[in-house]
Amino acid sequence: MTAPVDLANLRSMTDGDAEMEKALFEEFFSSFEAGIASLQPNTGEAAAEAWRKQAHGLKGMALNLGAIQLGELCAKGQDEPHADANAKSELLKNIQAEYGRVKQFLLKTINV
Amino acid sequence: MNLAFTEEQLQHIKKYAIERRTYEKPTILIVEDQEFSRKLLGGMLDRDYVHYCAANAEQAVALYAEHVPCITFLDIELPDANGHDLAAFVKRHDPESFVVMVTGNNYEKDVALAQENKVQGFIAKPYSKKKIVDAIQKFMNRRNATARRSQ
Repeated sequence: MTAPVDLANLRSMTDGDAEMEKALFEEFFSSFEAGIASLQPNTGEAAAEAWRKQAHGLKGMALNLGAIQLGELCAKGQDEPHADANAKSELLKNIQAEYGRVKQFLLKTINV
Repeated sequence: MNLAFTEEQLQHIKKYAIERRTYEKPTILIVEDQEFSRKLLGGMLDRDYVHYCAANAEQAVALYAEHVPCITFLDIELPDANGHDLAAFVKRHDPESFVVMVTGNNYEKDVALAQENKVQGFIAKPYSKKKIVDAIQKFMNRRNATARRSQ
């Protein structure tokens, strides 16, 4: 199974500064978890736009971290804001599961 | 959001748009609504550049007017405005500004709008050191070419 995060890009930005990486990972956990909590699988025009924006924000964070698979799941959410509630709930579960893998990987990386 | 500079801000921009030509290193404005991404880009720039961070268009307009940055890295999807509108607004009032659009969406319409606004660059996320350094180098090359022409 491939690693859920490719840290090469991020490390090109941090120059391998471990303290900076730890602070970035903590910020990622905090922001991503808040974002997931706001991702409500409701239907209707306003809910669809809120879902699209939230998924877009999560996608950007995931891609900048190097969590490509997580980013792809969020991109699916962004591209399908009018999906029905069941499809959104299923996607949300998949995002949560992949986020769990990403978090475990990052915690191991910083030895927590 | 209604994008506008006050008359006083416009005078300030005009003055510093000339002064910034003499800066040894470019000053940079990051406009990005996600804190994680802002910290990632800001953390990289911290080592070598003076930079300012805005989380939305309102903050961006205020920081732009105050600091008149040499380079602006501008996210397209902002909570209170569209980044393309903000880019057009900045270019209208500060024609020498160097704006690089940053986005997680590599949509054709975004690329087309960026070209229409005559911005200087378009970076698709994820960020990488190379993409950022290349954009800064492009700014330096443009500035050096302009300086040579005016000698």
